[in-house]
Amino acid sequence: MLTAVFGVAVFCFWLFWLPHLMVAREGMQLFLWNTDYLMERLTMPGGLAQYLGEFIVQFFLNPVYGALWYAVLLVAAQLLMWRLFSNKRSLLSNNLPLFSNNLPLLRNKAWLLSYIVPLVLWALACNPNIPMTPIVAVVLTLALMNLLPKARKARFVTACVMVPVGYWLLGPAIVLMVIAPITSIVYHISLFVLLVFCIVGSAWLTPYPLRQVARGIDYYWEGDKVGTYEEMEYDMEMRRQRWEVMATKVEQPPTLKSVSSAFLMSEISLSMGMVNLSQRSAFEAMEAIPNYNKSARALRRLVETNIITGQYDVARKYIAILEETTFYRGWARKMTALMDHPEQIKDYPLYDRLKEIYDNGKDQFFY
Amino acid sequence: MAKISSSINIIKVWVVCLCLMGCHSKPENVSKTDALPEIYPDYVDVTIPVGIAPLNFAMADETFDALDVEVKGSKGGTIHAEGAYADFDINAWHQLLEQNKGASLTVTVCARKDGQWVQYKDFSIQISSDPLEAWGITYRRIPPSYEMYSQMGLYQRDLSNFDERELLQNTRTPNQCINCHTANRTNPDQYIFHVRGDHGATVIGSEKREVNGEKLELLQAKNDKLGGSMVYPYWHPGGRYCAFSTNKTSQMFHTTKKNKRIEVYDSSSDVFVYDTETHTILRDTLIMKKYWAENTPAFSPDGKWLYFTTALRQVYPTDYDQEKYSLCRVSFDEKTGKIGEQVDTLINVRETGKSVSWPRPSYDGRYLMYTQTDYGYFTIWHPEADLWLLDLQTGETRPMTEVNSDRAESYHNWNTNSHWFLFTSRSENGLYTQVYFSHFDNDGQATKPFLLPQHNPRQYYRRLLYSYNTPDFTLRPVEINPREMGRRIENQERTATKTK
Repeated sequence: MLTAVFGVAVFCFWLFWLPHLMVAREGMQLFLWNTDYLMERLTMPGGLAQYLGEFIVQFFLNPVYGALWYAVLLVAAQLLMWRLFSNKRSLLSNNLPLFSNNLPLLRNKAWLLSYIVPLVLWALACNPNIPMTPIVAVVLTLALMNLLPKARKARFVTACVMVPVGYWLLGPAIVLMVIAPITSIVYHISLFVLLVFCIVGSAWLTPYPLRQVARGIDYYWEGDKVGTYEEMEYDMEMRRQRWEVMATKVEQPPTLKSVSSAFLMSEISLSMGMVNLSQRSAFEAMEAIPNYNKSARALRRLVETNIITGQYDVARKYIAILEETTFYRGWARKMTALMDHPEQIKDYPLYDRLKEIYDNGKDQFFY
Repeated sequence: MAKISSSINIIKVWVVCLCLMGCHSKPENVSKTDALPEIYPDYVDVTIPVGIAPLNFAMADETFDALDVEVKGSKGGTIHAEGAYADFDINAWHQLLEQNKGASLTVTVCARKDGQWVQYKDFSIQISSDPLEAWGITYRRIPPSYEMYSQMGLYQRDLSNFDERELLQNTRTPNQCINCHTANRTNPDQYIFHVRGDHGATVIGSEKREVNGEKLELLQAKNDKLGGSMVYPYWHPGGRYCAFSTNKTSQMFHTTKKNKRIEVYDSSSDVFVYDTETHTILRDTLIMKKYWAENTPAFSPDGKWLYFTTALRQVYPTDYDQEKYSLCRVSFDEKTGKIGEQVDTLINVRETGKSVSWPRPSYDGRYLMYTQTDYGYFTIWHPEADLWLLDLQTGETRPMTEVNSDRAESYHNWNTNSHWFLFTSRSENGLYTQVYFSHFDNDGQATKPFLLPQHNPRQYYRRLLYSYNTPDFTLRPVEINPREMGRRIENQERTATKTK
């Protein structure tokens, strides 16, 4: 019952409190249904977690689905933690004094502790600089920990396999497996050495500095390129054509200093008929994404601006890429039809008006 | 029991065979047409060197779902490819090219659309007897961005196959911009590239010229007396000197200019020569004039001349389209490291009304290839940018119509025997630059260019959201340890430069 309430709370929080963060996250990736995209991620430690995280984030285009995903992930984390605590085969319940039979009262209250990890994940997910990768990685690590056998020797052998494999697939979150199932100091030291070996080895294999590999290649984004909550909120409202928000709330004009403000700039300038500025802003937004991802949202805008400015060949290139996405595919096909029959631009009043402005405008420079 | 097992194995073999036969569809009921096939990349009637990777291709029209290709050598040998695209066996391809050196290949293409096979008119591929004399190429790959930049890197590519190796990616040096790798006459033993950002440096690698026992030297990114960074390098053939420009570069962005997005310009620029032995920047007022913007230097192959471009500085943004560069040269004395006292103007903007950039003399000393635009020097953002050729014996110039398109061509360079050159072009979509190669004969004529081969070219180039930048041939693989290079760049230790 409490789990269900927790799930509903998570859902409502994301849907009503931070939908703009979810929308902003969706704008910072280009999830493609092709093997190159998958392999590119699987060749990096933590790559499976990143891939699955990006798979989930593509649904954030609609905040209802996004909130639902967060609810599912955090409830899963809680249930997995609870299973770790409550399952008699699990290590924690057999070894932690807290859960020993000598302290049955505390053992009965262990469900409270099962909320610690999901609450921490919830807090982390609210940080714009922490992508979905570590959230997914922790949930999957908890799942792996539930698979550890009870017998000490078998558990050690299984962990020795799971730590390197899990590290490569999920990243440093696998450290939970090293520290959580408390058994013997030798067990911990052995697994810790193994994990350190994996991290150092990965730094040799991958084109990232050791400190970034140790921290998790896509676990944390340095810098302030993502943008503030405020910028994200305005951007989301502008995307929904809610001009009154801009008129009443925005005190300073957007700049190109972050992904969110650049997207906001792109939305505003397109609405004002400044197609090239909108194009530049979308491109800058895409290039500012901290983990070097590309952006389906930016590509969509670039398709629009390139159609308006008559650069069909490059628009077709972007469309071909968007056709490998889940949620931009249908729109991309419509744009292909538009380019095949440019006279149909009359059916798109915004593009038609912008094309007229572009074709007849006097060239000037902006900086 | 053994019989049953044997029978099962036979059935398995037959099932596998049937499956394979099902996957492979032989052309049937083929209709013929006199039209040449429209393929991607367009390799129809191109000239290629022995040793180049297989020219895999697909039908340009994606509604064709199967392809059956036969390649026959005029001196013998045949190879065959079939499937969604022509994917040739690498060993068989190289054997065929070797066998037909100096001759030609005839390519027969059958393609299926809507269940109907069509056989197109055969086309040929010439195999030049002029060797490429290069293991591969080096290049930078970057997004064609405005001001922000994300992932970029320097890479080398084996031209005999599709293998690409990293020289350095900026994932190893976060938030740094890595600039163009420049070797000395394609020799990987001596190279230079720049890093911009908090850990900026000019990186010089030299196998032969060890400095303090190190083959790698990281110079400080800026010299205060110079007032800027060392940009656009070109090695003196002797290996001791390297010419640079130093530029204060800015960008401005068009609002509604047709097919133009960005204008990159310099508020000032000068040319100088750097002495790698003494770490000295050798300045001379002749190539550092106050009201002139000297730029894009290059040494002649004998090392006796320093070519550069120069323009009378203009007021930006009002007169941005009046900044036009002439091509000049001045003598250079390798023994003293000094330039001469007289500047010759080889291509004068007053006569052409156009702007010259990126002079690249052929290594045999006969020609100089350059890029011509209406104004400015940052050619990649100028769709009118074309390659031009200056005959250094006759002084005549001509556009290289054999390779130019109505989109930007630029960043060209020669191979060591000057019978091949490469360049970048935006001809495919107007934004993302790709590398093309062309043969250059003894009469100064170039052949139809061919695109850098890829294993699955349509898929590769379609998905690529990066441009190829400043490519050059490399005689051998460049021996760089990217990890060690990244570590050195992250370290702040730099060699100071002096000025003279």
